[in-house]
Amino acid sequence: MKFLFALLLILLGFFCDLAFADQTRQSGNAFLSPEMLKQQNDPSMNPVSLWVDQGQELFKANCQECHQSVGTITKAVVQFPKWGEGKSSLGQLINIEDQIATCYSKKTGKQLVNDDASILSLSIFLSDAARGLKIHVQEPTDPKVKAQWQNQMNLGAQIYTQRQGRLNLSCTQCHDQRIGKNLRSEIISPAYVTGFPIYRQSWQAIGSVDRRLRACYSGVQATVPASASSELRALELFLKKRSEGMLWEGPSLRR
Amino acid sequence: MMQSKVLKRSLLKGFAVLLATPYFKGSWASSINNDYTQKNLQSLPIKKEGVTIDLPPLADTGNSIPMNLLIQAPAQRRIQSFEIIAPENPNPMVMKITLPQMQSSYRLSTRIRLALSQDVWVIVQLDDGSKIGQSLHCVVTLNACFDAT
Amino acid sequence: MATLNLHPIRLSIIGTPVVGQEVEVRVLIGHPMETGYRLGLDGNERIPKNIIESVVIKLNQDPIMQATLGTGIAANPLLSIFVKVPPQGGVISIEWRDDQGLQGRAEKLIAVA
Repeated sequence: MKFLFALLLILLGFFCDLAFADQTRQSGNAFLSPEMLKQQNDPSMNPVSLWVDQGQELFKANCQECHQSVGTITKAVVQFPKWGEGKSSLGQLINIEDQIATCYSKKTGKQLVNDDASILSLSIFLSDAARGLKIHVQEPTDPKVKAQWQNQMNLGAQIYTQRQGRLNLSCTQCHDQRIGKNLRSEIISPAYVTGFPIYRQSWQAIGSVDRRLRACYSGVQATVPASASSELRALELFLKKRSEGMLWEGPSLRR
Repeated sequence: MMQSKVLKRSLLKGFAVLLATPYFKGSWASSINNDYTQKNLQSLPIKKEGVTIDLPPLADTGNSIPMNLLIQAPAQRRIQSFEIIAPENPNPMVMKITLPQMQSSYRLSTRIRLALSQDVWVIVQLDDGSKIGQSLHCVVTLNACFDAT
Repeated sequence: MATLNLHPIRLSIIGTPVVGQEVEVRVLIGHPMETGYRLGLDGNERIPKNIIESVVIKLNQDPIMQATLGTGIAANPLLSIFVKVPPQGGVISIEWRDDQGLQGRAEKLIAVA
C-alpha cells in the first residue's frame, strides 16, 4: 500500500512537472545581468541591430524575389533542424544556416560557409522577425526518413548525457543538475535554444548555434567537432526538441 | 674665472637632471602612454570634484563594459577636453575627447575594454589649464570556460 | 545584388527633440576594434591591429566633438552624447576613420515640430 502511494506521488509529480513545464523553463535571458538586459532590449545600443540592418538589406536584394516578405518564412526558424530534401542536403540533418547558405548559392551562385557574415546576417534578420513564435520541431512524415531522423535525435540525447573531455563533464551535469549555480562569475542556465544567432561578448562577434556548441566542447576541453559535422546537427536537433513549446526570443546578446 | 665656469657647468647639469625627471614629464600631462601608470595618476595635481563615473563594480566581461560619464565644470570654468584612462591596460589611453566648443557640463556613454581589474580614471582639462578628475575601481574576472572557436 | 557592408552604422536620436533642450544622440558602429593582441585560431600568430582612431561629430557642419579612440574601446563601439537642439533643428553627422585608412559616415536630421 505504501509503495503504491509513493509511486502515485512520483507519477503525479512527474505529470505536474510536465503540465507546468513552460512556466518553469527559463530562457538564457533570465540569467543576464541588468546591464546586459538593458543593452539587449535597446536596439540603439544592442550590437545585434547592426546585423539585423545588414540582413534586411541582403534579404531585400537577394531573397525578396522568391520569398516576398520575411513573414512567410519565419516559421523555418522555429522548425529547423530538418531533414534535408535538396540535392546537396539529401540524407542529412540541416539547420537554418545550412538552408540559408543553400538558398543563397542558388540565387547568387556563391557557395558560402555557414560562418560567413552574409549568412549570419540573414539568419539574424530572420530570427528577429520570428520573435514570439513557438518552437515546434516536427517529425518527418515519410516513414523511411522518420527512422533516420529518430536515430539522430537519439544520438543527440546520447551526446547530451555522455561525459566528455578532460573535465569529464556531460551537458546534463551543468544544464540540468546545476542550473543557477556559479561558474566563476557566470550563472549556469538550462541552455534552451530560444534566441540564436547570438552576439557573444567573449567572441566580440556574432555566431550560430553551431559555433556555440563547438565552444561548449572547447569549454569541457573535449576535441572540438568540425563546423557543420553531423554530430553537431544531431545535438542541435535534440536541444531544439528539448526547447519545444518555448517562445522564440530573436537574436540575443550574451557574455 | 674658473669658479664661474664650474658654476655654469653645475647649473647646466642641474637643468639637464630636472628635464630628465619623471615629475617634469608628468606635470605636462602629455598623452605619452608611459605616463599613465596608477602611481603617476595618483600624484597628478587633479581636483577630485565635478566628475561622476558610472561603471559596474563587477564587470560581466572585460571585453565590453558600459560606462557613463557626467562632467560638471566648476563655476565660470569650461571643459576643453577629457581623457578616459585605464592604467593597467596595455594602452592606457582609452579615449580622448576634445570639445571644439567648450561647455560647462558634458555627458558621455560608451563601452570600454579592461584587461584586468583596475581603477578607471577620467581626467578633465579645463579652460584655465587646471584639471578635475575622478577614478573608480572595476573588477574584471576571467571567462569561466576556455573557448577555442 | 547587395554585398555586405563591412562597417554598418546606426545613428539614433533618443526621444523627441525640443528646441533649447538637450537630446541624446547615439551612434553604434560595426567595427571589430581589433587590438592586435589577440591570437588567431592556430594560436601562433596575432590578429593584426585594426581600430577606429578618430570620430568627429558635427551639428550643421560645425564640429561639436572630436574623439581619439584607443584599443580600450569595446568592439562595435557605442558613443552617446547629448546635443542642445538649435532653433529650426539641424543635421547631426558622424564621421569615423580607422588605422587602415577606412572611413565611414552617417547623418540624421534632428527634426523639431
